[in-house]
Amino acid sequence: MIIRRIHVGLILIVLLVWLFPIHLQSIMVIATIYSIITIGLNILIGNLGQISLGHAAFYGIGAYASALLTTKLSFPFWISMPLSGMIAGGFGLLVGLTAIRLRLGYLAIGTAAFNIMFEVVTQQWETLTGGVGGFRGIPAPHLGPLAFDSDFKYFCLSFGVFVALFQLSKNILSSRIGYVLSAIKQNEVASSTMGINVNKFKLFFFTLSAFYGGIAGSLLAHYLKFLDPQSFSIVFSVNLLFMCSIGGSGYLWGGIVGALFITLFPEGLSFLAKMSFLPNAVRGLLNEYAYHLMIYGVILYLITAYMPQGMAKFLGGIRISQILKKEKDL
Amino acid sequence: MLFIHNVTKEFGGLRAIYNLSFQVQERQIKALIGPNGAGKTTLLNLVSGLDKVTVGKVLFEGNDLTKLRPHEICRKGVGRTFQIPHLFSQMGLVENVKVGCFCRTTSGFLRLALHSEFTMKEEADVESKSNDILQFLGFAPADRRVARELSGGDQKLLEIARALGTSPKLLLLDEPGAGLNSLEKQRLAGTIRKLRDEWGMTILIVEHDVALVMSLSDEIVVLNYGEKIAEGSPEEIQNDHKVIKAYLGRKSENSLC
Repeated sequence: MIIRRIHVGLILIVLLVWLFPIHLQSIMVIATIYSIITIGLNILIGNLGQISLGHAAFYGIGAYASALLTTKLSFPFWISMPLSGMIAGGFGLLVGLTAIRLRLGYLAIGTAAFNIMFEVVTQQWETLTGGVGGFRGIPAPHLGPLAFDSDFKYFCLSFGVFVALFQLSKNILSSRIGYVLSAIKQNEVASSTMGINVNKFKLFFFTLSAFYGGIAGSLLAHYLKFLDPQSFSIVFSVNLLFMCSIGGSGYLWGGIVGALFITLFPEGLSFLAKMSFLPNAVRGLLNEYAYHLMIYGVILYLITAYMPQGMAKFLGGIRISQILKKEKDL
Repeated sequence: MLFIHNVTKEFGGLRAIYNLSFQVQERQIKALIGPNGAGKTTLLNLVSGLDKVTVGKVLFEGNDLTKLRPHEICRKGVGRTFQIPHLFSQMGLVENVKVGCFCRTTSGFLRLALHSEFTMKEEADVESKSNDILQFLGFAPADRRVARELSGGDQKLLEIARALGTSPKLLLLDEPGAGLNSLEKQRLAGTIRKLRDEWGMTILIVEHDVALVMSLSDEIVVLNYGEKIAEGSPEEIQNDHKVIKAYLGRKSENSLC
């Protein structure tokens, strides 16, 4: 087997996280889970040009589905994870059916409405979801005697899932599907006269990106072992969009950069807060969540104004079109 | 091969085409001419499925196109170009043509996701097919420009190349000569004739350049205000009074003599 640079890089990442203190390991688990959602979302909004203001709902559907399958139906994690992804994908298909008929602004409202519907259901249907109090007692996954109950072990699990899904997306996008997505984004009318069933593609990618969200949700459920409706609100959908935008929409790495940013940035700020050379007032501010939000706003503005292609490009990211060209040169 | 049967198209109160009927035989080059606003592009839109007929039928090789969506019509063998190039502006030349070829590939999602050998072969075939088409239309093999960077005339040629990628039996050309100089127009006429003679294609062409139309077409249909006012060979059309009055102008004024 050829060991390529990328394999070495992956192993190094795992080693690095192994050396991290526990609270950083925990952050990396969350960052990995967010990255999985953003891969799917990024393809949808960056490459296909659609909008989803409700992706947190698919994340939540996957999470609750996996929780219910393992607790109420005693499914093992290894079955409930893909199944939850498929259930979320099913809802993605439903949303996609409406998306075909809606344009831009109306699509945003439609997907946001779906997210709100999901929020209400999780809050009200207490017998199913545990309501606002939350869903407790979700088991950790285990493979025979090995239980994934430590942060590092769970990181290995979610990182493995992430790498698999990332490679899958890369394969899809570097095939003719990637070209078709570009074509649809640049000119829908011409695409349909060239034999491309535009609606089928839109449906497919709504489903696929929802599937990714569902997988991520399942991973979250078995990590936190507890779910509450607040994590899957519209606020989180906006966070996902933020991750995709500052990371770079349309770039394969975009969402991942964004996910890392949103999870590590607060850590960076609270680390700064420990620096004694800063005046106490500033140190106090750096720890306030409200001020984090303000800084996010400023950053979002700066990126949109000065780096509209997102940080991924700045860090040397690979555009989908370049992936297509690269495959040709191989 | 193509039957336009009593087609009427109304946009609300505006009647763009009224009771139009004509046929295009296999391997024929048929032209559709008429003043601006006569309904020529509208007719092409109806045939290619971008608009729905109000009344009437469009039959292609026995298939009723009026019920089908644009991508289905393309798969039945109808390709088209647009009056204003609708290229994929950020893609290169080969990529544009490749997108046209994709509708004839058969790899399913699973094969694509796993980059199977079958898919790789298909992609190689698409690549060489696209390069052949581009060469046929006169593009240099190593042309790395992006579609946006092409001149207007070259863009129209690329449109044709892309439509050829779909392996059409019937090609709808919407003013392919617009923006070309006379030398390029001659070459275009030669290319169109070759498409019919060597590739066996049937062609329906909308054009304003009367000289080009007269020398190239087997038969001409003349539209005025959405209605057919004449149909026949180039000689018949040149001498038809209604046509001269509506469109060609008096013999001493037009560019034919």
